[in-house]
Amino acid sequence: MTDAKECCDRFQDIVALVLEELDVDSAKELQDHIAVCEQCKETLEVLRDEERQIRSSFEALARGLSTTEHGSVWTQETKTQVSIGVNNNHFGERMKMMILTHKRLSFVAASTITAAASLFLYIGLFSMAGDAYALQQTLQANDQVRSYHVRVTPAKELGEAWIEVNADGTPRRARMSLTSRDDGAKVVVLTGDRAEVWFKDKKSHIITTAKEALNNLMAKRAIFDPKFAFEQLQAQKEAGKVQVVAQEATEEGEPIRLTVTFSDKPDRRALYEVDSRTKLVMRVTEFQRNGDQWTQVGTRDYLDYNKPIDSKMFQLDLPPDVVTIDRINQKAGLAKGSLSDQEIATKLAKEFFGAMIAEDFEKAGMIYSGIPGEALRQRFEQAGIKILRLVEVGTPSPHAKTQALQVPVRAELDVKGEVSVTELLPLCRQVHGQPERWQIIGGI
Amino acid sequence: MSSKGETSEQASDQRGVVTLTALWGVHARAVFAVCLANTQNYHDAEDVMQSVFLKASEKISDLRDFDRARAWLLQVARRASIDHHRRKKPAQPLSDEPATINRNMRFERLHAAVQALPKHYREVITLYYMDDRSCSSVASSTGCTEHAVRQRLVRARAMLHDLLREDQT
Repeated sequence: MTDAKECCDRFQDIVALVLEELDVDSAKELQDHIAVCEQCKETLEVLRDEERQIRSSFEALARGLSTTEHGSVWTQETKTQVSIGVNNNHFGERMKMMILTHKRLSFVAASTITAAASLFLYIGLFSMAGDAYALQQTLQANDQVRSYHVRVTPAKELGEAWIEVNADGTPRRARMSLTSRDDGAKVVVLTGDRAEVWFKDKKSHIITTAKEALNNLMAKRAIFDPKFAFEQLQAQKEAGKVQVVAQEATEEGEPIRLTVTFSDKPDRRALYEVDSRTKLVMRVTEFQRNGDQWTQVGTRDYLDYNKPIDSKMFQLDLPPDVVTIDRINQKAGLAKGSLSDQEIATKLAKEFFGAMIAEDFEKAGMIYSGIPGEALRQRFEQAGIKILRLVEVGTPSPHAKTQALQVPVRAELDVKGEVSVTELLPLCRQVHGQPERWQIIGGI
Repeated sequence: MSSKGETSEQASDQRGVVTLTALWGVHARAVFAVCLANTQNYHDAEDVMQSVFLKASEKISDLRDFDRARAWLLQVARRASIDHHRRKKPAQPLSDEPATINRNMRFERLHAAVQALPKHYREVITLYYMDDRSCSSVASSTGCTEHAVRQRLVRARAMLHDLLREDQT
C-alpha cells in the first residue's frame, strides 16, 4: 500500500498516462504502482472513462469538418478549386455558404456552385437514407488499420498489447504483456525477424526467431486482433451460430452497439461498441448470465488505431539479474542424430546430471535450455543445492500438457547441508528453431 | 503511419500549387480548434473559420509554402477571433450566449468546462483533441516546444477533470 500523499502526487502522472504522453519508463513504473494501489487504480479508471467521452465529443465536433474527395467545382473567377463533399453535408454547406457570401465572386460562379452543391447535397441525403450500419463496414475499415493498442480487463492470458500490422494483418512489430500458469508474467516483443520473451517471474530472457513467436501468438489472435475477431464474428453470423442486433448511434459521438448472442451458449452475450465515424471496434464487453442476472466478465478495449507507436515500446528494459538465452545464435541441447525420442531424452537426463556432478556448468547449461553456465551455477548455489550422484534413470513418457517427454530420475542431492535421494522429472523436447537438437526445458 | 504525413502530401496539386481544398483537408480541424478556443462559442467559431478560409482563398496564390500555411492560417484565426470579439455587442457576453445548436448535454458540459480553462490551456487542449491528439502537431501550431505543450496539456486535462467533477456534483 502507498500513502495518500504519494498517490496525490501521482495524479498528474496518471493524467499523462491516460493521455499516453508519459515516457515509457515512467509509464511502466506508474503501472507497477497502480497494480498495487486501489486508489490510483480507481483514479485511472475514472480518468479513462472521462477521456473516452472527451475524445468522442471532440470527434463528433470535428466530424463535420473533414473533407471528401468527390465532386469538384472550378471557379474561373478565383482560380480556386473547391471540393464539395458528397458524404459530408456540413462541409459542403459551409463551403457553399462561404463562397456565396463572398462579395468578389461573380453571380455565375455562385449559381454554378449552388447548383452543384444542391446536387451533391441531394446525392448525399439520398445516399444517407440507406446508410444503415452493416458488419461489412467494419470489415472494410479494419483493412485500413496498421497499428493499434489493445487492453484486456481482467488480464487473464493477455493484459495489454501494442501492435503494428502488415497489410495481411499479421503483426509486424508487437509488444505484449502476457500471463500464463506455467511461465507467470512475461513480455513478448516482436521486431522484424526476431522475437524476445522476458519471463519476469523466472528472470530469464529468450531471443528467438519471429516465426516461432508468431506461431504462439497467432493462437491468441482472437483476443488481441480486432480484425480477426470481427471476421470470426461475421463467419459465425453467416453460419447461424450467433445473432447480431445493431443499435445505431442516437447522438453524435455515441457508438454503434452490436449485441451478440450465441445459439449454443444462451448464458453468454457480447456487446461490441463500434465507432460510428470510423466503423472500427472500440470495445468488446462480455457478459455471463448467473440466474436472472447478467454479469460483466471482461472487456477488450481497442485504442489508438493508426496512431504511431513509440519505438521504445519494442525494446525491453531488462533488470540486471535476468539471464539471456540467445536461441538464434547459440546452440542449445544435444544433437539427436539417429536416436529415437526416448533415447535422446534419456541421454539428456544422464548427461545433464553427469555434468552437474562434475561441476561442468557450461555443458549442463547448454543441455538445460541453453542457459549460460555461470547463471546455472549461481542459481544452484543460491538455492543451496548440489547434485551428488545419479541413482537411477527410468523410461521416458509423454507429458500431457507440454508435449515433452518426462524422464523419471532419482538423484542424491545435498540441499543446504541435508543429503537425500530425490525424485525429479526433467522435461525434454526439441529445441525451437533447431529441429535437429533436443534439450531439457524444465522439471528440475 | 501518421495520417498527417499522408495528408500533407495531398496538400498541393500535381503542379505543387497549394489548393483551398488541401488547406481545408489538412488544417480545418486546427483552425476550428483555435477559433473555438478564442471565441468560446461554436457558432462564432464557425463564422470566424469561414472568414479565415475566405481570406485564404484570396491569398491562395501567395501561399507557395504549404508548411508555413498552417502557421499563417492559425495566426489569421487568432486575429479574426479577436476582431470578432470586438465587433460583438457588449450586451452579449461571449460565454453566456445561449447555444442554439442541437448538441447533446455531454458535449455542452464539456464545452462549458473547456471554456472555463485559462486561455493558454484552452487553445492547447482544444487543438490537441481536435487535431489528431499529437503534442508535436500542437507544438508546431502554437510555436511552443513539445515539452511545454505536454506540460500544459497535462495540467489543462487535470483542471478539466476537476471542472467536470464539480459540474457533476
